[in-house]
Parts: sequence; C-alpha cells; structure tokens
Amino acid sequence: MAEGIKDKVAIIGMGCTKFGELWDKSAEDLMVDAFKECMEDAGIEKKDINAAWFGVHFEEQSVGKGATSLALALKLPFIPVTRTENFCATATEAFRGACYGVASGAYDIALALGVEKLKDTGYGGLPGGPSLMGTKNALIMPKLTAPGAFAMMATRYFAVYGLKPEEGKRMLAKVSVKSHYNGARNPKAHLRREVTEEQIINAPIIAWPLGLFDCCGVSDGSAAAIVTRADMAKKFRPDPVYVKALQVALSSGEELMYTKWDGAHVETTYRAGKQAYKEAGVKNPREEISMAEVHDCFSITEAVTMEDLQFSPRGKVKEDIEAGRFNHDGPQPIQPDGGLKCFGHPIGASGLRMIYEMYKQLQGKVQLPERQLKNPKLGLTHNLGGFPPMNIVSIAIVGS
Amino acid sequence: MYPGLYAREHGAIAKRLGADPAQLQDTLLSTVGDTGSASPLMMLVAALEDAKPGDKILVASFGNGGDAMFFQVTEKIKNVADKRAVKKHVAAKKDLASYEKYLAFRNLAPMDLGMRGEISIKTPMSALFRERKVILSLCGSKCKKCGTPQYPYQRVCVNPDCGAIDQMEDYRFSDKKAVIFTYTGDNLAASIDPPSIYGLVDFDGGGRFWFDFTDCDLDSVKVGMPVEMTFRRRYVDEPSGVHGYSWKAAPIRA
Repeated sequence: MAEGIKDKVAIIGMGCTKFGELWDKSAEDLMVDAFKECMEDAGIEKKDINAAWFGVHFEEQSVGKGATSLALALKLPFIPVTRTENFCATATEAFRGACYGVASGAYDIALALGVEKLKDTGYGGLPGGPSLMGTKNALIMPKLTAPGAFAMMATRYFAVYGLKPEEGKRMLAKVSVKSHYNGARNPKAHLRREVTEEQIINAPIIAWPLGLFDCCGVSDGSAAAIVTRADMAKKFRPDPVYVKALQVALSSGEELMYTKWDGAHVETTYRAGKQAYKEAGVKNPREEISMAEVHDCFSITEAVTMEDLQFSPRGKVKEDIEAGRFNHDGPQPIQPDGGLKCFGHPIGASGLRMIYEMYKQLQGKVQLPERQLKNPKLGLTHNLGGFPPMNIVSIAIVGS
Repeated sequence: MYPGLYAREHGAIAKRLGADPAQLQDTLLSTVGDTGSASPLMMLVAALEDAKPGDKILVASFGNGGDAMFFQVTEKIKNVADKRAVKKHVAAKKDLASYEKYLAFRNLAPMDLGMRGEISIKTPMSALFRERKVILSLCGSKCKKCGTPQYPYQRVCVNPDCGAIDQMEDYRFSDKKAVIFTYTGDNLAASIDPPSIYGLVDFDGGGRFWFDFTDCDLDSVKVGMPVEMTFRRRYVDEPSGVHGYSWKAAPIRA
C-alpha cells in the first residue's frame, strides 16, 4: 500500500478574494488579489516559487485555455505552470498538483491558484449542460441543469426515507438557514443576509423540490495557496497547516447505467471519504473531524454529504440537522464561512476557498473573533463536480 | 391510399381513379395533421393495422414526381398485431391546454427563451451517422458474459463485478417499459414548455438512464410510475439544417 501524503506537505500561505458580483474586477485582477494576500501571508518572494498549478473551469468565460493567463497576470519568471480542470474539484486538483510536486521532491515551493469569472454570463446558474457535451449527449441526455440534477437526488432521498415533501423541504431549509447565518457574519462572503425557514420553504421553485434558497450562488472570485515540504515549513512560519489526506474519486458509470445505486447518496463522496480517512489515520470521522467545508451546491448535497462522509448515520442526517449538530456553535460545524451557499461558488476557486477557511480556523486567525471556532484539530474540505450519478469528488484533510 | 391536403381534391382524384370512397384510407389530416413526406407511409401503416390476409393496397404519393406501389397482405399480418403504430399513438395523444403552446411548439409565435436559450447546438452529420443506433433506435448493449443491459451502447461492461470488454450484443430499449427512479421539474432549463420534466428510469429487464419526459404534468409524475419510450423531436439546429430526434419517456396511456 502506498504511503500517502500525510504530513509530507505544509501550507505556508493562503489568499482568498471577496466572492461576489465583482463587475469591476477581471479574472486577472482576482488572480493578483488572491496571489498578493497569499504571498504576504507566506512571507516569500516570487523568485522562491518553483512551479505553479492553475485551476479554472469555464475558461471561455474568463481567460481562455491553458495556463498562460496565470503566468502573464502574475509575471511568473519562466517557471512551469499547469492548468487543471475537473469540474467543481478544479481548485482542489490544482492544490493536489502543487502538493504532489513538492512531496515528490521535484520542487521546494509551489503555488496553487484557482479563479473563475462567472457573473459576466448575465444570468443565474452555470452555463452549459448537455448541449456542450457533444452530439450524442445533446440528443440522448435530458436537457438538465445543475439544480435539476441535484433536485432528482432530493426526490429520491425523500422517497427512500419516506419523507413527505414538506418534511423534506423543512429539513433542507434548516441546512440553508445555518449557512446564511454563517455567511452573514463573513465579510468576504457573496450573500450576507440571514433568512428564515419560512422564507426558504416559500421561495420560488428552481427545480422541484429545490427552491431558490436551496441553491448556492455562483460568483466571481479567486483563492490561492503556497505549499512546501513539511520539513521546511517551520522556516517560514511557526503555524503551518499540514496536509493529512488528498483523495479523488470519479463515478464509474455504475450510478447512471447500472441499477444498484439508490439515488439518495453520492457514491464517490463515500469512497473518497473512506480513502481519505485511511490516509489521514482517522478512525471515527464523526468525532475526529472538527469542522468541514463541504460542497453544498444545493441543500440536499450538504445533507447527503453528511451521511456519505460518515458524520451522520445513513438516513439519519435529519436528526443531526434538527439537533443543530452542524451549526457554528454545534459539535461539528459545517460551512463556518457560509459555504458555497453564501460565500459563493466561482467553480475554479471554490476548493481553495474551502481550504483557506480551514487554514485560518486552524491557525486561530479568522478575521472576526465571533467567527473563530474553538480549538479545531482537523478540517475537511469536499468538492463534488458534475451530477449525482456522474461526478468527481475531491477531499482534503488538513490539520495543525 | 394517397395523401391530399384538400378534401375536395382528394375526392376528385378518387373519382378519376374510379374508386369507391369506402376504399380510401383516411389521410390523418384531421387527427395528426400534415406530416409531409411521411404521410403516405403513415397511411400505409394505418391501413395494415386493419388489414386482413388477401387485402390489396395501392399506395401512391406525389411531389415533384410520383410513386405508386401495390401490396397484397399475407397471413403473416397476424404476427404483427398489437404493435404500437398509428392507432395507439393517436389514442395516446395529450390535448394542449392552450393554443399559444401549440404556436410555440410549431415555432409560429416568437418566443423569448432568455439568455439560457441562446446556446446554439452544432450537429455534425458524421456524428449523427456514427451514433445512429444509440440516438435513433434507442439501442444499447447487453453483456454476453453477465447479461446486463446498458444504455447507451458500452464497450466495457458497467456491471462492477463483470467489466468484460467487447463482449456486447446490440440491445434495444425502445420497446421496453420502464419505471421512474427519480425526477424533477426544472424551471431554470431553457424550455418553451416549462418546467422541463426529466428523470432517471429503470427499464424492465435491466438498464438505467436519464431522459426528458413528455406528455405529462409535474403533479402526475411519481417515483415508481411506469413509463414507455417515445420517439420525439429534441431540437432544431437551423444553421446545420438538422432536426434532432431521439427518445423521451412518457406515461403509459394507451
């Protein structure tokens, strides 16, 4: 069995822009903003960076293909830069590339940066769908959108666990109430208003049974990390954050074309989680993972992710949600920064944004004292790109 | 049988042919509409649904030229009884609630689909031809090793305990019934008939895939509801001159 990545790589600097409708910022501006904060935090110079990994998903909306846009925007001095793209796991893939780059010994210091300019589309939600997936898919797949694809998981969850639509919608509303509470307190978040359960339940339907507040915002934004080998980390700062696990799992086609998947969970999350716990040496995730930023693109996604990551028993997340387990003052805070739901979701930056929150929480350096969690040990981040039956999941576990 | 857009002219042709009106096949104009070049063949299928061994059928069509074919029905007609052809499709029709919807479906009224509707699809003929079985025949594959049916056609078996490579035979899903595994009604998707209703279906005998649903209302759709597959238009790619057709799932009505 391979050794894994545990404690071989340390994060010594991070940056994250405000997420939102940033009409006066270009993708390049956002890259520079995230990079600047990241470099100041790490206390290094540009010449110290040996290699970079650059994540962007909808390149046609912002910077074009390849990695040249990062090198040009930051004036990186003829170093290797690799572009990563893997749906919503794009930024975590950039981070993974940088971590493996230093862990291998090929580099001492590497940069991972993700960016996305989405609001220039002029509409809510993401562009694309099956019409951009080739002729066969354009003709045989339903004309689905992300909310529709995840709504089907809500329909299925309600059916499998015998929830009436109104019971299911109330369970999901509590997920969003919590994220809005956290987002409202975060100056860098995109959506900063608290909402009530009733507002959520009565909001217009986007894709039945999901309403407006069950869906995350899509945003402009960028986030970045500087990583180095663990044995070098203390040279740069007294409180580096160590990588404990990095795992990725992709659908095998079983969920979409075979008939065993129950449609009420995400198999890739469960598999990647299991691998990540093994890599990090986590025996009891419900007790050992202090906090997490998971891929709450939709309220139902966060709910099933709690079960897939083994934070809640199968079919029992409703009890944990109702008990406030995942609230900011609960025993296992989820989305302390507001999550995709409220911090926002610039696809190519989201994975690094999640790691940024875990990093700051672990260092005790969250901007506002009321946002700081008490003494967290291990933080987990999770991205789910694609649709429940056809997706990629990435998981990172970090600790001090 | 022969098409005719005008009843008077249609009758006048019969007179010149010396045919009794009772011998004429209905043009389907009042039930189906003007189907263009498909019209004589649809009339032939409708005639065969009522035909008895020994019947003689004359099929004629015209456009820039004309064709005539003469058929005699054999005993084997009994083997194709109860096929879902013209009669069953007409019986399964769903009435539209408003004339405006009809105008929208026929592209006779200008529709604002919003910015999400602006994405244009390019349809290369080479891809349509290569994928013709999957797209037009709803043809998937069945693993010869483990027996798992799968759509669309796969070369590597999707059964995780099998995984056989290139052990497939063609398998048609178009005549299989299915049940709804899950569904949604999507108001975000650009559609001339929102919400877009679609979902995953499990086929009788095995196989699962996702499809657009048609001829149904969101309120009537349920997990576990039986559906059947129906061949429908998906989109019109005007620059390429392609009408994209494939299969949708519909409630079983007739």
